[in-house]
Amino acid sequence: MVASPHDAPMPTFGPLELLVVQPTPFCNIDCSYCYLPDRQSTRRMSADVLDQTFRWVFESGLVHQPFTLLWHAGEPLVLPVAFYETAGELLRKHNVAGVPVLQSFQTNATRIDPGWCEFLKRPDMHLGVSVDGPDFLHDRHRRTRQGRGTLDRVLRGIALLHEHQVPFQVITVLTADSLDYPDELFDFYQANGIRSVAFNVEEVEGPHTASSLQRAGTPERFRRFLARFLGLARSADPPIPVREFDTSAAAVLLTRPGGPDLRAQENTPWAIVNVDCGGNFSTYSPELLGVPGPAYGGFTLGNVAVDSLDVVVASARFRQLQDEIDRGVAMCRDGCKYFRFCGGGPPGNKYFEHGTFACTETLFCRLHKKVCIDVALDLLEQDARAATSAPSTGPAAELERAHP
Amino acid sequence: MKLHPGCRFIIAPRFHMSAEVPQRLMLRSAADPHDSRGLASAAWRAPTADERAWLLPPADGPMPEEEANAVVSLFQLPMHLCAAWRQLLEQSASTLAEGKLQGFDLFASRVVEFLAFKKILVADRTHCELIVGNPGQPDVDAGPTQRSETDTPPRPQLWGGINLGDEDGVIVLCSITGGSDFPMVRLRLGPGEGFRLPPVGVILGSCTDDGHEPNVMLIISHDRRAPVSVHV
Repeated sequence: MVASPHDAPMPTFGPLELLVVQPTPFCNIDCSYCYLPDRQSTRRMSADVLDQTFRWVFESGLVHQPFTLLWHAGEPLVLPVAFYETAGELLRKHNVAGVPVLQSFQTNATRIDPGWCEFLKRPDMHLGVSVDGPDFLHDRHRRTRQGRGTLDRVLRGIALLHEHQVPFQVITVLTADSLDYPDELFDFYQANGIRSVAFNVEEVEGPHTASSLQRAGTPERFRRFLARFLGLARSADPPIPVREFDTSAAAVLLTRPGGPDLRAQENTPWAIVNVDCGGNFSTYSPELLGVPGPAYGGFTLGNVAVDSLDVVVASARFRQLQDEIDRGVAMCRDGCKYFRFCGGGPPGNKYFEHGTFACTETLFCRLHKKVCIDVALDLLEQDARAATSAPSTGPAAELERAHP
Repeated sequence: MKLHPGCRFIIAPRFHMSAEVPQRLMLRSAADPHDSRGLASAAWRAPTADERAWLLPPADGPMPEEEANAVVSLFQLPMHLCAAWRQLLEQSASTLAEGKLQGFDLFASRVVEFLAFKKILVADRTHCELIVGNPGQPDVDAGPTQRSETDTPPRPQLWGGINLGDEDGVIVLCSITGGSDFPMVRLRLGPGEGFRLPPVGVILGSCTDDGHEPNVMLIISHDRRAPVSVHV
């Protein structure tokens, strides 16, 4: 653990695990399921705001350990490499204790060029590429503002990353259409040298008020999809790591009956700090940043130029937010058999689906938590049986399945 | 010439294929539907607009699942299974001439598993047979897909097949319920592409498309006790 450079410990908050910084809300493409309300705006974060952001973070007392700085909430690569070179200098200036910071970029890869490749191959960088699979899946949702598909440009970017030996992970958003195509997705990843995969489900968030995955029968379809895809990915040579299996399996293997509950990053106050391009900040789910939320007076809690963490956490608005989110987590703990492996549903999903944080199950919970844990349990048990040829006595027996 | 309604061609639900159905179909008259000579010859012609209307599904949205079972459905094997097939052939090169294809059972079960996932095939009681023919020669005459009461022992009910060759193959379909002027339909299948027949009403032949490579067709049937078998 790294000591805080300041003498203002706040043991009840944080520590900071993820700093999400929005260099610009602008995105050069217009995905049909995007949750960003302001993605046509070309505003960008100034050097002054960058400087204030890093100063605020390191003065907040939240930094006790290595954390990830994620450039997101807009397409980060629409700004030039020079912007991030400056950001790196400012980060180092304020990070006087030398806390390791992993910089992560989530990009649509349409603007990758050799200059970006050289920048992104540095050891403290992590790259996530958003691509939804073959053209009949990807181009259905990930389009330009003129309605054209973007896959050709994405694949050119991926080819450049390979050429320059830049490691990356892929995030694929699954819609209802995707669930019939695990083999085709697997083929796509293999054909394009994609070695690490994460699946996001199409969520109800912000202006995206309906998901194709809300249709009846989706959990069973998602379970079949995931089981088949994992079967292929795990038997590939080399195997393709899939985030949904890795995190679910870890949750199952690391929790014990009667032991401490798993803690979810998104509902832990100040484990995540989100800063928009104007320096406005929030905590909890990044998708809440900039959302009006009138019943809560908005989810922006302050500005890095003027509001210290001490003042913000003492405010009635933050306390109301924290209280309601805590009540929601307590409801999850009391009512959900998967809580031990999950730690409570993301506040953002709860708010966007139910209009309140004091509630329990969401679409995200049903798919990305429950189904993933069920499938991971099945595979872990298969592995155990294959290893020992013993009858089933694994963790699945502890968890009475509760498919919705 | 009129086509008998009811034998339409579609891309199977939950599949995506690069070439659309109309580009795959050719017609010719058939005095004797069992005469499969010259299946790859130039006697074939493109269907007329009227014939296309009989052969293709109505353009207004996806076909209901129950109707999709009554048509010829086309599908595509995923690349990883095609690669597994090529690897299997390479590994069996020395024993192939003796008619042995070690690992075929496992490969066939993976194909059946894939088709079952796609809900196009019920996995149990499935019989897989590999038919290999000389380039350009017709080599499958599978007969009516409807089982006859007089078949002893009962013939397996033909479900469909997959072109496992390295080049385009063709199958020829003829409705046994149509009249004598009912044309034969020639369906082109790329490598790794397959077809599912409707439960009744067609007979079948296959060969490579003006080919230089052997015609390799995985024929899938129902109603045999043995789960898979090899015929080379």
